Amino acid sequence: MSKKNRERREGKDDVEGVSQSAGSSWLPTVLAIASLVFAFYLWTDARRVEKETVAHLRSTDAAITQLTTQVAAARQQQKPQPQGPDPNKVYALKLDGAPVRGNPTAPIVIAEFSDYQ
Amino acid sequence: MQIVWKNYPLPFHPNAMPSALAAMAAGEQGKYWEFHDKLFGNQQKQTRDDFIRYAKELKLDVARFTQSLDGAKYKPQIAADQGEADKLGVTGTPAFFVNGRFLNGAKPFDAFAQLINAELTRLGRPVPPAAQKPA
Repeated sequence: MSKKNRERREGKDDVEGVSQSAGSSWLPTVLAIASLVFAFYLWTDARRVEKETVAHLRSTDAAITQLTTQVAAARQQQKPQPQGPDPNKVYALKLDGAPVRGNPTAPIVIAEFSDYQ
Repeated sequence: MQIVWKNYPLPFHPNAMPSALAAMAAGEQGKYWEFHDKLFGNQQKQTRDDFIRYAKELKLDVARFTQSLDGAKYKPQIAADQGEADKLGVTGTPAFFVNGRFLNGAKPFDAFAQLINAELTRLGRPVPPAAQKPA
């Protein structure tokens, strides 16, 4: 075998050596990329869950605020009820057929809502 | 001055409705206020027998009175008064409306005098000196 040939064989060996070392580093790279992809998936999924939770909490907060406002409004509506009619208003009452006494042409008419007990 | 009676028998007063019906039955024979005074003078005596006794005392036609009372003839009118009171927001008795202005509960004379005088002044009528509140 000539020197040239040997050199060529060595060169081939070198090439093989390189390709051998590349073959051994291929699996970890894929694993690393897969891990990264999986980690990215986990992260995006966590973000999604977080976003959904925040949105849910916001809608719950909004619902609570709305309920609180409604309860307050209902309380306010309830309060003036026992006070009865507005003393500053003039109400038109139906007086036909009701028992009347006094001067029928009098300028003052007092209507009394009452009961016998 | 004119006083108009509006029936507002409270649901938790068991004798209030029968009494209102009896008074209206007396009113049918022109003795509403006389019967009203009997009822107010005898607040513990408001049974059917008591009503008939008062009718006799007031010399009413008892048969006609009893028929009106037992037939609950004036119940629709009383219910209409109740409905009107509820619509106005009246929740208790007595409730007064002086020319349509609300005065709640059994108020002292001054409260009435004040409203009445204000109405007389508004209508351009003279306010009787006796009704003027002493300073």
